[in-house]
Amino acid sequence: VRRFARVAGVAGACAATAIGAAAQGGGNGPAGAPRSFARVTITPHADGAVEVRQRYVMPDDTGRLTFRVLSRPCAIVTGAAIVAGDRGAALVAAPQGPWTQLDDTSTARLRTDSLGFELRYLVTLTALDADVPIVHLVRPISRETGGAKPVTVIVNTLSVPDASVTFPSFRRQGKAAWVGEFVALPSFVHVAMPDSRVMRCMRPLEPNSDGGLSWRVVLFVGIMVAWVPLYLLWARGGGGGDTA
Amino acid sequence: MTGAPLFAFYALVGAYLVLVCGIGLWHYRRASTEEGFLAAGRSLGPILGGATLMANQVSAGATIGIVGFHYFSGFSYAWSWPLVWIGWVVAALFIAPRIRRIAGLTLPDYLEARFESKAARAIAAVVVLAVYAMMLSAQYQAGGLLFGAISGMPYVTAVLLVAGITTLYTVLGGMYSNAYVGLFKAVLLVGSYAVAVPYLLSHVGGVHAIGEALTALDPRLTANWFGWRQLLAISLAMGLGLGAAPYEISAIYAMQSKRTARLAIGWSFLFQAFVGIGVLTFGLSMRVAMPQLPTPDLGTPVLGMSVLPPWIGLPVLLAAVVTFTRTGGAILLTVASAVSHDLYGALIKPDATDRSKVLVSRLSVIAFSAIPVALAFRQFALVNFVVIWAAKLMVSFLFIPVIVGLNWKRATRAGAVASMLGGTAACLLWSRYGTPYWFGLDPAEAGVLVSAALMVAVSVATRPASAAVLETFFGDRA
Repeated sequence: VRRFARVAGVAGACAATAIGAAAQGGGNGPAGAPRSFARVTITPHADGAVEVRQRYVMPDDTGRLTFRVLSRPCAIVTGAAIVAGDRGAALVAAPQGPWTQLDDTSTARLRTDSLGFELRYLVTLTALDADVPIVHLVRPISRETGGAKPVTVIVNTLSVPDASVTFPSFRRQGKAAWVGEFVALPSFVHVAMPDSRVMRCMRPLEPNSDGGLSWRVVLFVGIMVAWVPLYLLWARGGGGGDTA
Repeated sequence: MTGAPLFAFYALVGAYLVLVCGIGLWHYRRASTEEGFLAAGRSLGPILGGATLMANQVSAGATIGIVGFHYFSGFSYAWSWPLVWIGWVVAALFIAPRIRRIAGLTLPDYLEARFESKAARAIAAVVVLAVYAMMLSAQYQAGGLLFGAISGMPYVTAVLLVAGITTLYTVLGGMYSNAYVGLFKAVLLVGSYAVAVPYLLSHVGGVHAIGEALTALDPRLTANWFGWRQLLAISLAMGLGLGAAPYEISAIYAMQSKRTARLAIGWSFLFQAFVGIGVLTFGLSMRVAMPQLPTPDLGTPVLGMSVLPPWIGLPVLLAAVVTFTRTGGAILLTVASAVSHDLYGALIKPDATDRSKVLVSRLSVIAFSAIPVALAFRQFALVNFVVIWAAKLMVSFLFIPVIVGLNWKRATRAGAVASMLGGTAACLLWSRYGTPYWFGLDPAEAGVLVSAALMVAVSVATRPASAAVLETFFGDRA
């Protein structure tokens, strides 16, 4: 055992040296505060109106601003506009199936530097158990893959104190806010309002083609489900001799 | 992840470590012989054996890499599961029953016995070391991404932590440890995915809603991002390669009988079905719920820590941790056997005692784990691309010598060596110079074809195997 421990110690030291040398050549640095970030504030009201404000700061970003939003049942997004300093511009909407693309078509370029810009819009919920769609940029806010979470979403429930956020994962902060931190913007959040069981969302979205995904999934699951018992029946019955 | 959920994640990982170390220590004495350490004393039954086969196959390439694949390429990669299963059926019919005719421990054992060639054994051991370094780096890369994303730990530290966990329990328990942790992995994967999939589908709106959203983004996401030729090539590499993979052959050697091995393959299908449906749902749902991730490989970490509630998300994350540490363990064990059994015991010091071979096994696990760590620091590609590339090399190298050697009497030593070297060279050259692929052939297909052609041509031109070898492997075929 002593000999094993001694040799293992030497091998471990060699391994650590090799690892250290490799680490000099590659790998990410420690995760720090994100340089680019988005801070989203969602304020639902008891009448179903939801104000959304998104503050973006992206110092390294020089691309054209294009956003996208996913339609959700019983939720209507209106009045999307961006504001930067003294400049404001409405976004032009173009539907793409359940998504809507929102473009800043003005010629003046928005600053995405450390001053950033703000995106504002209103969501009208026609039922109290609906999802709130979140407008998002069509590119990642940050390329960091470490622990940094450049997106903070705050749902301010001061107007509807019993509301809670059930999807994606949020944590309660104080009595009037729910906070979620993410590496990218979610396409919607589900805010469970009081009395949501009474006013359920019954209106589905306009149907669009699912591209054949449903039948493909059914076929795929069917193959998986049928294959296992068929194979086991064969293996039990005709599995051959039982010698090693 | 911060606060209580992060603490809970560390607590779960800590409990898992205690469990695997406990299993390792429990079996430490039983694993003191070479047969105990490398083949669990040939004691595995069908369910434990099935869990072991699945646990070897379902690596970080699946729970993190394939989720990432579905995230960026949509549905079509799902077809690789049933196609890979064809490879397992080939293994059940033509490999598992015949390879158990010798009481070997490793794939090179078979190569030496069948082809009466120490050279074949040595070549196999060296190539296994090289390819598995690549495969293991994918496990560490996935682990680094996951721990980094969850805890904010630097990627390098996270990779070292994952490598440390994997090395520790492999050193302690060998195949016994691998088998029981494999069963734990199967239960955890099935349990956590069975809860997470319906939860996720209900919130994202169901399969049809996902299909609508993805089709509008890009119609290929719900149809054929990967064409049939690509899928066949990848599945051929993965499926046929798995059937002849050294760590799966070692697992088959660890089972009680030939029949047990066949049944175990069926049980592994059951476990794989859960995983296949789960990773498909995760990848597609995440593309809808969080469409702009910095890299697709973050699909599973973000799903577990930021999308699912902690009571569902934490088990999904733990399942991913278990996945890459357990598959890493199987790879390390194969490496240990290549060094201690195939190089040290068979070629360098044939009179070595069992005890010294186990010691060399354990030392080689520790020493070898440094190479893939260094590779993982570089992050060459998405996790699943690394796994696929390693599988292509392995199938080009091993599939023909295994399947043809077990089922064709006329296969000879020279044919096998030519087949192994030629297949590997063809795969490498095709990858390097054949882009876009010559004659529409993928490197794995080219490697297997060249390997088969060389096996037949060289075998026919050389002296047949001895009567004793033919009696051992083909005794029932008069």
